[in-house]
Amino acid sequence: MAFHEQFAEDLALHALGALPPDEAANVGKHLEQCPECRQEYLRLTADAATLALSVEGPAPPEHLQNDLMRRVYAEPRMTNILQSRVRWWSLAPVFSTALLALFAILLWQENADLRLENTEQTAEIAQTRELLHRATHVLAEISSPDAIHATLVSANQKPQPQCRIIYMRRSGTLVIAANHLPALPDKKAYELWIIPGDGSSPIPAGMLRPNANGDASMAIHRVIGERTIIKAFAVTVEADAGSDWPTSKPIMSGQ
Amino acid sequence: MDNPGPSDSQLVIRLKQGDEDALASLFQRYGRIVYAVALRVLGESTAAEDISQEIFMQLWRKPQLFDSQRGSLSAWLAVVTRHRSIDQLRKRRPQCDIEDVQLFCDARLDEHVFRSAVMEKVRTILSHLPQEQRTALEMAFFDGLTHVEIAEKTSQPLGTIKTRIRTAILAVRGALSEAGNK
Repeated sequence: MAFHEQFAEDLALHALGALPPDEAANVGKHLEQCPECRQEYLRLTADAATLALSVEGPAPPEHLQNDLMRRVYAEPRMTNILQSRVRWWSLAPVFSTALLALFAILLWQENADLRLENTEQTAEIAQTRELLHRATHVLAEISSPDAIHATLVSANQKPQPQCRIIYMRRSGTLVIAANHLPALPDKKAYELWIIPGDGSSPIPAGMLRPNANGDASMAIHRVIGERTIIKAFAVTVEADAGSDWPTSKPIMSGQ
Repeated sequence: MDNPGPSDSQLVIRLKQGDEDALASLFQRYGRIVYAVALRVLGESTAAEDISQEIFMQLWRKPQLFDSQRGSLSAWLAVVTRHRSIDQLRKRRPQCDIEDVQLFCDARLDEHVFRSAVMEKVRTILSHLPQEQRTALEMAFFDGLTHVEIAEKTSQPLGTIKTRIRTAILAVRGALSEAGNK
């Protein structure tokens, strides 16, 4: 049986969260009673999900995963929580005597300290392992036969800014290492661009923020599709937050 | 090759066992989608980073919230991110708990090639929609506005806005079947 046509538009709005609360409540009540409309509503929520998935945007900043993992490692592991609960209950009869209770508390405190120390060490080991894994992965990719190596140089004379780019088409990883970049005024930064071979607009590939020595490096992932043909790379000076398109002439370019 | 390595379901099982590496793998796989959705809604990178971290921390703390029997993890993450971002945008308390998000999506959306084909199709469809339909759809979905608010902002009748939004979302529906037939 088809869903109720009189609800068609409200179902679409409800799936997108675009109904005011009172109307949403009315539609919700109807959905509880009508399997056909419920089925159409679920289809519409799936349609909305594909809409969300279609959003294009830049890669998240490099530090985001590190920040996330730091928070994860800082949290007590779920398995630890479960173990401590079990231990507490299993020790409950022991607390029936004051002497053993005191003894148990002292032991518990010592155990907690050891557990905290253990958690910190585990987090450190896991973080180190992750860094090692990523470094090994990047090095292996850099030396892979499908890696595209490019060198970008400036027309300026000494000191000669230089930007080396390695793009691994298969994995979509882009590794950039720049040297001798002149310091920029406040609120300005270097932005890397990928110039597609099909003549479409330059694609922003990330911000280069050199240190005091003028060195900058970054690695980004999947900034363009695997099939995108790269004509060249370029670097411009943009606002510190980055730009969606170049607003100044390239200070470096190459392929 | 699509999604080399463990499947999403396998990674979620490892999450339930407290495996931090599984979360790192899922972030590498879907961090970009989550960040892009948050950035699209909020338009500000710091807020988008905060939401992205919140979403993955929720997944870490309560991996059981995602039911792999219902389909795609990528779609679930995108929808949950959109909900949380809209709440943040409108400075309101969360309108629905992540536990309440029910989504029955095509599981093939977790295959990179299939998902890319669908996304490309959706973008093409959106680019060919009449501007007023696309605007109404985006105001509802990405700006979190009700049809009443959209009607006020665009000075259009309520019925017109409703029709535009439904027509637009039904057009998007075609992307999944067309990509599947490729």
